Amino acid sequence: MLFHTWTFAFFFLIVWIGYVLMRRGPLALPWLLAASYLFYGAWRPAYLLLIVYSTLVDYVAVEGMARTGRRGLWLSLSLINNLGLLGLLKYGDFVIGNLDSLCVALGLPRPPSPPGWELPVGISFYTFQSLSYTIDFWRGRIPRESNLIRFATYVAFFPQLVAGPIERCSSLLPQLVERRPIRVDDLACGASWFLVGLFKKLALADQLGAVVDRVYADPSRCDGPTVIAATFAFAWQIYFDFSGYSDMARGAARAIGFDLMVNFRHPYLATGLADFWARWHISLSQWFRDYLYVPLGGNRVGAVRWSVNILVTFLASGLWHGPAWTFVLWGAWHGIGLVALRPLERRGIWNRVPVALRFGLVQTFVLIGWSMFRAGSTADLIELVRACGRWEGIPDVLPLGSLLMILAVWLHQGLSESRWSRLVRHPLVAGSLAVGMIVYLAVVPLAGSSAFIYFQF
Amino acid sequence: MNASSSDPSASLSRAGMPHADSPIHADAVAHPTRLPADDPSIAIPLGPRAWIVVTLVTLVMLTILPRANEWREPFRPSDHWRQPTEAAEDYWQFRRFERQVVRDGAIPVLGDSAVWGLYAKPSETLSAELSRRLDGRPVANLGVQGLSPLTLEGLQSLAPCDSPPLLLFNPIWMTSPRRDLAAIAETSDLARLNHVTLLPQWFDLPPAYAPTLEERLSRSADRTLTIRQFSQHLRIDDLGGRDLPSWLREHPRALPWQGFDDRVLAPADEPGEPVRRRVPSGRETTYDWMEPEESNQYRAFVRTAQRLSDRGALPFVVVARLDPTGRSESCLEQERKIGERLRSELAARGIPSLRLESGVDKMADASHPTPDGYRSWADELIASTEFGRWLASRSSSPSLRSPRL
Repeated sequence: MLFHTWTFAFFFLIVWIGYVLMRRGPLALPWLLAASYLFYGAWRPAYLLLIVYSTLVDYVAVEGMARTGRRGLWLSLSLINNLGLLGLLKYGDFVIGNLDSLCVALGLPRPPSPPGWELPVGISFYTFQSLSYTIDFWRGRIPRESNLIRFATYVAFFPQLVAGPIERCSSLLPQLVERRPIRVDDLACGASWFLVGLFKKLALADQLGAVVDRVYADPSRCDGPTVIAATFAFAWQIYFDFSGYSDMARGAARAIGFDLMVNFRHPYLATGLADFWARWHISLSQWFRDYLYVPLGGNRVGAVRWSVNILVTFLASGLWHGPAWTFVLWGAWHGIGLVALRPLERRGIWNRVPVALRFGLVQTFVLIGWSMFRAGSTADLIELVRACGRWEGIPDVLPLGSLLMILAVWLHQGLSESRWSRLVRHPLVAGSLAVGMIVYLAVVPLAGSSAFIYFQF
Repeated sequence: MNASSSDPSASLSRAGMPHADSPIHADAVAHPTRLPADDPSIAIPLGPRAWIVVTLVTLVMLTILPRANEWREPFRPSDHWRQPTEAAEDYWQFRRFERQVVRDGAIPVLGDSAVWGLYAKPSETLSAELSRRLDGRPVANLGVQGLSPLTLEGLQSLAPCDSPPLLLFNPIWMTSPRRDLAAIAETSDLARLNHVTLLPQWFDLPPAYAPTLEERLSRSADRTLTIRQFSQHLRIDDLGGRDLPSWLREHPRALPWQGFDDRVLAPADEPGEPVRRRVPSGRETTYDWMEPEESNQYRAFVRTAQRLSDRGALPFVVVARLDPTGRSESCLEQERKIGERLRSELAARGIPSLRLESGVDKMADASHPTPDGYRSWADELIASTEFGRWLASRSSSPSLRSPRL
């Protein structure tokens, strides 16, 4: 069930009415859980078994930690189970495929064929969310959640179940306990978020997708400017797609009285790589920071070890996105960028570079990274690099209309972080934008919509 | 070691994000319910009052826009105008045409491609021939390609005809369970269903039509909301059936508004082939006729006629005939029975009708006449006393005296 469908609108209306009626009663949580499972089961009912299994294992693991005192053992069980399941379903084919290539190259007996399992939608998101509970409890940072229904609702909370934001139990569980009243402000705020997300997805992301697909389907037939234009389009497509999902998730949650964390903060205004990662997919960055980077030593170690920590974190982040070398390369690209930039930053050189130049350099760096992310394979990536050596004139792959819309969004974001922010946030401007977005979505013939890009991760 | 700006952890902390060292439930405390205007993460910070204003302004705009487009895109249908084939699903334009027909006091002729004139030029169709025989009295071709009785019923609920129309019943829709939408011959048939938006979405669905919940909701919205029909009109009429992004990709240097012109799509003048009577193949044609009681199309047709009648737009039903070439006696007899059954059922409801006897030897295919065939049909209608009576009665119809525009 996708947010931008009539089915979701119908589903949400029913869930909202039911929740408003039952909010203070004992049925509120079962109602939310049933809604979440229905939402998830709409993709494929069999997937529900996985989420129920993960939920039960982590619940039992924490119960075990609390009752037996053998915290390490139970944590290991949770880690092996969660990461094992994720690894098997997400990376099984990748590992066996690469092993097969290696065996062929070395003349060794080939391993059995990959099972070709379909990746359950959202598994990377809810696995991380569920894992954070067991790890945080093991660290003694959160209390045990004894109510299984509440914990299951936390893991499967439908607005953010399939593509985040990856919420922490310290944020969402207390809200599930409190279940505060829904105010008119919540509805207004939720509607604002949802509308922006819907517009990003339907009017922007899906339309840019066709531009990108045309070029990336066969990069060997393109020249450099075309590849650059398509990569620029992809950078915005993935931003509109993913941040649009996050906006809609936050809007839907807010309309039933829940606050989800900010997941994007104008990433294409970043003037540094760390700044970019403080603005892009914030919930995942924080997850890797708290559960991988900090345990590795974070920045409380020497320069070499710090560099290794950053590289490991970003390689893992790249691999999290999917079982492909292109994602690993993308992660490595950003890790290397952060490591390379550090000496310049420590000596204050980077900050003396004019903002416009820093902005341009960072955006170019990010853009190159996106070409790795989007390339279908490493062979396609090589084709892209080759294509960049050809120049056949001004590209016309990105329509002027789409470019103008991107520039308008960029300008709006820039103004909202400048001293003109009060102007762009004025109710008259915001209201005009809202009317414009609704009318655009209602009147302008748009292409059929697709699933969100991040569902595949 | 100090947190440097290259440390994501430091950056995130600076950005005001919760840190892993936060105390238990600290995030919940740090997440007070804020007014939208105070939330920096929201692009359009609107409070409840602002949303009320936005809703009202939006409703006004969505009401005005289609009307403004009528002013921008003048529509003066020529004498024998018919909805172009590529605009068969432009129900907004159909409704506009229908309103214009009522305004002009023309006699609307409703039906499928047999009314539209698949193998005839616009000036050779049933409506054109009738108009000529009625001394130039306007008769409008409201036939739509691919419109079965079931979808005609949907079209009439979407764009009700306010003037007593001539309504053509084409028995071809009852010649097999597949045409009757009682059964699917192949899975690919589903993709070939015409005018799916006009099919029943919630009750009395024909067995061949099994939409998902999303399709039902979406198509219900298409039928209910004028703005969705208007959007479809823009897609068909201005963008050549494409969405705006596709059009922009084909015209990369153009600005979005350049895709929208002020012309209404005009019908092509040429008929499809053949225009002559078809040559018998020598093989016997058999039909798996549906019984009227079981036929979805038959029942839908009767309901449509009844609804028109109930609304004060008493229709005159013309029961067409199929090409008898190569058909067995029993097959022809079944068609006759269905025609007579329909006529008697309509008569019981006070709806006049006529089963055409002529033109069967002037068919271009099983159910579409050649231009000669239309001439025969028009001659037969003009000669019919029932039709004459209906013509006389429709002139004094209350709906014609005060047309709803």
